[in-house]
Amino acid sequence: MNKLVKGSIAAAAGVALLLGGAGTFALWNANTEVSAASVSSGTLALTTSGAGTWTDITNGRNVAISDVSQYRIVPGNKLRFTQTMKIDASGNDLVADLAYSTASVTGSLKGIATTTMSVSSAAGSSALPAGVTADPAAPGSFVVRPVAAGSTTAVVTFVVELPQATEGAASMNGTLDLSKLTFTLKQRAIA
Amino acid sequence: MSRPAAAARRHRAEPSRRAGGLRRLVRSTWSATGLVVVGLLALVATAGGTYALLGASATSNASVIASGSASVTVGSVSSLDVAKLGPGRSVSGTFVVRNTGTVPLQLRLTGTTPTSVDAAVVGELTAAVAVLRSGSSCAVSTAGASTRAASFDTGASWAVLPAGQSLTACLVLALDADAPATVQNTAASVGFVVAGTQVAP
Repeated sequence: MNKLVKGSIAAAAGVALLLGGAGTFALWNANTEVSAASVSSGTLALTTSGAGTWTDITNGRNVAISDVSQYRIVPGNKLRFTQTMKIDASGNDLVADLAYSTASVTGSLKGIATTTMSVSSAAGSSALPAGVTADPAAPGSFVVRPVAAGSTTAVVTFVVELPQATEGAASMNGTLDLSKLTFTLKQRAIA
Repeated sequence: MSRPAAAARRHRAEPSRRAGGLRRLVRSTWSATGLVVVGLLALVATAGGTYALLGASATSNASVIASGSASVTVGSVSSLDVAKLGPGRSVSGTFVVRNTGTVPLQLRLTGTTPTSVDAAVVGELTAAVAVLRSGSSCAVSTAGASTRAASFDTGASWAVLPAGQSLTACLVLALDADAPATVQNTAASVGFVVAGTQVAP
């Protein structure tokens, strides 16, 4: 047996000894298991409930619009879109902003027509849903906090108005595309 | 060149070659680091919207709202027999106003300022305009009160014309009874403007 073979056998034996002895060093050690429970994350979700409806609220009217795509808005008109939504919010430190995405509103009347969003607990009510407060720092935006039930129902209204002082030529034969109107809930960073 | 001198130069060049190799290694390491950083930045950039803060959204198909239009057209006045126009006499004609927009319009008719050439003649003319009722003829009696043509103004709500509809108006022009002889055998343009304003909702 040459030196190389002998050396290889000795090395293999050493490695085998080391592997076989893993964790059984001469010094004592011990461990135990503690049940620290599990940590769950919160939720934040926004879903529409049914289809929204349109109402003509010009000058105090309250007339339902069956097909708003056939309506021709003129300066002085004010229309309201009502959409029921479910807000799921849970999390000890969860605070979120409810708003609408201005980017989801398109068309030539964007910037001419005014749009505002509001939230209530039920259609025709001015009371805010449980867990929802108006954001004094950002008018038209609302702050959502978790409620005991885990979810709350909110009636979101979106009002479109073509002001009476609107310049005629720019606003005629225009469109305001709300087919992708998006409402958003964004968590605020924990203070 | 002597052999020892060449050997000495080789020895002197050896450290500089080693230094050059080290610089290349550092440069390539920095390049690799730069690539990794750029790659990480790209990953972070493309991961937009997936930050740790929670977010949710819901889209509602709220349809498309279209705006209407206000548009009015005026047909030319039926021929006025100006040959009959003399001091104290009048001529009449009709014209059609059509609302081609999508909203009801309030109509207003005003006279235009004549050119300096026409001013002498127009200054001797009075005008009267009225909406011609179905079955009635256009005459001085149906046109109502008259005022000087150039400053004629029906007021803001002369007539309300629903979208898509039209009306026939009666126009009467009268030459003053004391018109000077200088205006005889003279042609002049008399202009009127019909303006339509949307009826407020």
